[in-house]
Amino acid sequence: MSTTNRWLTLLVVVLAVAAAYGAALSWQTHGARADAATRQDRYGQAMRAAGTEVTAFVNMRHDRAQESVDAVAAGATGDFRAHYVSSADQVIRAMKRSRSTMTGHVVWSGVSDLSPTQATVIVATSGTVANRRTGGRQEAREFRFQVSLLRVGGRWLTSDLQFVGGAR
Amino acid sequence: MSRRTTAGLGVAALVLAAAAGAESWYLWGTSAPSPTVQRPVVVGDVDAQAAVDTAATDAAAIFSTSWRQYDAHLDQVTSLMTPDMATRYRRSAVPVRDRVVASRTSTATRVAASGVVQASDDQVLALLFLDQRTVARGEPPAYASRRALVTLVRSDHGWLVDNVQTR
Repeated sequence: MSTTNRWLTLLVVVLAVAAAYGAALSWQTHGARADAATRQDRYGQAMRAAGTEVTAFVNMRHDRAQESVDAVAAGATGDFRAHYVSSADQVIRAMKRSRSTMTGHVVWSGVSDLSPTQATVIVATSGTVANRRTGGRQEAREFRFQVSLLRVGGRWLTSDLQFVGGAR
Repeated sequence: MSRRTTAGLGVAALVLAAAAGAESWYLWGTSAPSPTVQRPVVVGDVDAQAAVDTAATDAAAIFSTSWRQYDAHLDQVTSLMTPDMATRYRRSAVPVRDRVVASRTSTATRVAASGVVQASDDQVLALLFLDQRTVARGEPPAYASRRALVTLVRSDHGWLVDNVQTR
């Protein structure tokens, strides 16, 4: 074997070891990045689900009461949904009686707690309410919500929704 | 025979060098991901939570003021901020000093809830729900529920408050 070939053989061996080590590291990194991407997606999904549910909750119209209630129920699950649906008639009657219209949008939302199957998201909203008590005038309302979510059949659904400290 | 071996070894070396180069690029050549709407948090859960905890502690300190220690408080909380934020905070805090002292106003702030809005390696946005109780001479206590978006940036001394928006 010539001197050139001896050096080339040595180079090939060194490169083969480096490439094999790199392949192992790449495989490990690929798995870690895939796990991280799944976890990162989860944050966005939970925040969007909470935002959608809260948006439905703060947009209620007496003249489209059933539609408003259905929108909330569509994103809900478990006892929260059962309780909400069972009291829907009462809610609708109250909305119609007071000619209540509530509008709002999500200002900010943030994830407090997150696992593959559960999440807690806090949501701040701004909006207005108009009813008989306000004389039909729109009054500003800012709310703070805490939304508990469960992963059900590939979707994040609301299992509880609470006001934090009420409106101001 | 020797020439053919040389050519074969040369090709093998080139292929292996290309493979090692591609692996190096995959491992170290790509930049850290940036937050998007789909993926607002691109750091680990522990890192994000640690930054939110810092935001909560710092915000409670910044928004808890007392007429008795107004200047000391100002010095203390500006050390939690970036130089830009500290300058802006001093600019807004100094003009109200006399009024706070004259009315003997104190405000206690506690964090009712907190969450991560967005997080990368060097910046975190935290949403905080703040409950405040303010007492002033001759007046009953006043209570307020606030929402604050706190921006933290990473520095050599840890996370520093770079902005606070309240609504």
